[in-house]
Amino acid sequence: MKKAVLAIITFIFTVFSINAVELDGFADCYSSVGIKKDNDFIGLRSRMRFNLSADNDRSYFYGSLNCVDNQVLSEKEITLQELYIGYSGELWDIRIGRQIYIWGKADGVRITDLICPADYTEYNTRDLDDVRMPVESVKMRYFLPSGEVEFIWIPLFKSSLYPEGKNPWTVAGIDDVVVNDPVEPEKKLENSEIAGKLSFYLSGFDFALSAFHTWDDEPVYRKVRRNGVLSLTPEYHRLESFGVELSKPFSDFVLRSETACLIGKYFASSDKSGVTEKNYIKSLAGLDWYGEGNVVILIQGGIDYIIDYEKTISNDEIVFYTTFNITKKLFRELLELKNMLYYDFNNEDGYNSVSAEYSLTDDFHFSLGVNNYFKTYEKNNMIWVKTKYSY
Amino acid sequence: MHAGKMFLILFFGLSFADLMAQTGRDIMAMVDEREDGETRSSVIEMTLINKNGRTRVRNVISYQKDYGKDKKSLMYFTKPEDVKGTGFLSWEYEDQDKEDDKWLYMPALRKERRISGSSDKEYFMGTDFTYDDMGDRNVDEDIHKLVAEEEISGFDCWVVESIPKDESEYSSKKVWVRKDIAVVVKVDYYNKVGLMKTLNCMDIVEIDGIWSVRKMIMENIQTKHKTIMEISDIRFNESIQDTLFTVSALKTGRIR
Repeated sequence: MKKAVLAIITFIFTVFSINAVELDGFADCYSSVGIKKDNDFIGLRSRMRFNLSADNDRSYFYGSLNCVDNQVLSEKEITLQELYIGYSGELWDIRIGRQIYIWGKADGVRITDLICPADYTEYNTRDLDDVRMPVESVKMRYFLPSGEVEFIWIPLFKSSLYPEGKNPWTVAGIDDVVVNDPVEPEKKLENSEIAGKLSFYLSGFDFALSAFHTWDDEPVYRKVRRNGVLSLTPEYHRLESFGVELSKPFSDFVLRSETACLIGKYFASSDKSGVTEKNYIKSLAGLDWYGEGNVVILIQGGIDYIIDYEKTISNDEIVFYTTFNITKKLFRELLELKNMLYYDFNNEDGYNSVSAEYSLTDDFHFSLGVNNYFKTYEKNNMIWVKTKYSY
Repeated sequence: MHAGKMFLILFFGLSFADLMAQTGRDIMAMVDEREDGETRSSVIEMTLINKNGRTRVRNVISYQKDYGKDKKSLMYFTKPEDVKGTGFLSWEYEDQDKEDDKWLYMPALRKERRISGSSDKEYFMGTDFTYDDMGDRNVDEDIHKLVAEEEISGFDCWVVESIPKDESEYSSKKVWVRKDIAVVVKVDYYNKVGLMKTLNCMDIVEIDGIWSVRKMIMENIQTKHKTIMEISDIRFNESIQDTLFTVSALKTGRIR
C-alpha cells in the first residue's frame, strides 16, 4: 500500500510541475442525539478529507480521499471520493475517472439529477457530496458561444444505497419475507449508461435539454413464489430520462424550473409479479429571492405524476411536495442562520431543519441544529452538533 | 484642441484636467471614464480586522474584459479554505434597464447557479466594501458638487460631494480626486448618524501606462471595523480569451 501511494505521488510530481500541486481538505466531527425517549445517538462520526490537485497548464489531476469513522454504524472506511484526470482544449475538455455529477436547477430534489446514485444510509444528515456516490466515467464537453454540449459515458452500473439492519434510518420492512440476492446488470459494454446535455447560458435566460440512457438506481422487488414460499428479488431496469431545465432572473428574484420524463420506470404493485412498468413525469418550479441584508429565500413546489396509472401501483398517481429554505448571514458573515423544510402533501411527511453555523476563525466552523421529522422518521427527531476545520 | 485652451495651458501652467473639469459631475465622469485598459487581471487580498484586532483573510483572483460599454468579470476565490474554488461570473451592462447576468459556482454543489439581486448595497464577503464601493455605481446615480480644492500627501485634489438620488446606505459622500491623474485618493461616507466610513487609497503607481491603486483601507468609524485591500499582480490589456467569461469555464472550477 505504501509503495502504491509513493508511486502515485511520484507520478503526480513527475507529470505535473511541483509548484502546481496542492493539498487541501477538512476534518469534521458530527454528533446527533435523539430528543425522544432514551436520547440515543443517531449519528456519531468523524471524517478526514484529503484533496490533492495538480495542474500543468492544459492538463490536470484531482484526487479526493475520505476517511470516516462512523460509531453508530460501526464503520471505519477509507474511500476514494473522486479521482480524475482532465484536459482542457480551447473549445472542449475531457475528464476521465471517478467523478460526482449533480445536474439540474432544483435545490436538494432530484429531477434530472440521476447521473450518480445516492447513498441514503443516513438520510439527510450527510453533506451533499457524501450523498451522491461517485461513478467511474468519461465526461466530454464542447463549448458553444453561449453554452455547451456535454456527454457522459458510465461503463458500469452502480445502485443507490439504503439503510439496513440496526441503522436508525432503516424503515421497517415486511416480516417473514425472504429477500433474494439482487439481479444487477452484467458488467458488459451494452449495459453502459450514456448521458447528453445541451445547455445555453444567455443574457437573462438559461435553459438546457438532456437525455440519459440509464439504469434505475432504485430497485423494485419482484415477487417470486417457489414451492409455495413467497420471496422478493430486487431487480434493476433500464430507464430513459428526457429533461428540460430553465432559469430566469428578474429584479431580486430567479425563477427556476426543471422537468424530467422517465420512460420505463418500474413501480411496486400489488399484482402477481409485484412490479408494474409505467412512464413517469417529475416536475418542479422554484423561486429564489436574494434580499437585502444577506437574506436568501428559496421556495419550490414539485409534482410527480404516473402516466396511465393503475390502482394496483403502490405509489400515488400524483404526489405534491414543497420545499422552503431561508438563509440569513449576520455579523459580517460570521453567523449563518438557516431553515430547511421539505413537505410531502400526500403522505403528510417530511422534515424541518433549523441550524446556526458560526465561524470561530476562517478555518474553524461550529454548527448547531435541530431536525424535526414529521412521520416516517419521527423517532429520529434530533439535536446535532458539527465542528469543521478546513485546511 | 481648442486654440484658446492651448493658450491657457502654455502660459498659465494649468493642467488639462483643470480646464476640462468644471463641475462635480465632470470630475466624477472623468474618474469613471479614466483609462483602465480593455482587460484587467489581479490578485486581491482582503484582510478584515475587527475592533479587537482579530483578523480574517479573503483572497480572490479577478479577471475583467470590456465589451464596448459592457463588462464581463470572473472572480475565483482562493481563501478561506472552505470557499476555495468558488467562482463568480458576471456580465454587467451599461444600459440600466437591462439586468446584469450573474452566476455562482460552488464546488460542494458541483453546479452553477444563476443568482440575482440588486445587491449593490450588500457588503462583499463580509468586508467593509459594498459592491457599490467597489465600482459598480453609475455616475448619474448621484448628484455631484465640487465643494473645495485641497492638498493630500502633496497632491492637489478636488473635493466633490456626492448625494444619492435614490435611497442609499449613505446620505452623502465626500470624494478627494487627484487633479493630475483623476484617481480617487480618499472618500468619507456619511449616514444619518454622521461620518460612517473612510476610504484611503495609497500605493498609487503607473502600470502599463495606467494609474492603479495597490492598497486601500476602508475603516468603519462607527463599528471600528476595517478592511485592508491589497492588489497585486495587476495586468492590463493582456489577451484574455472570451471563453474565460462563460459559464462553461466557471463550471470547470479552475482557471487555466
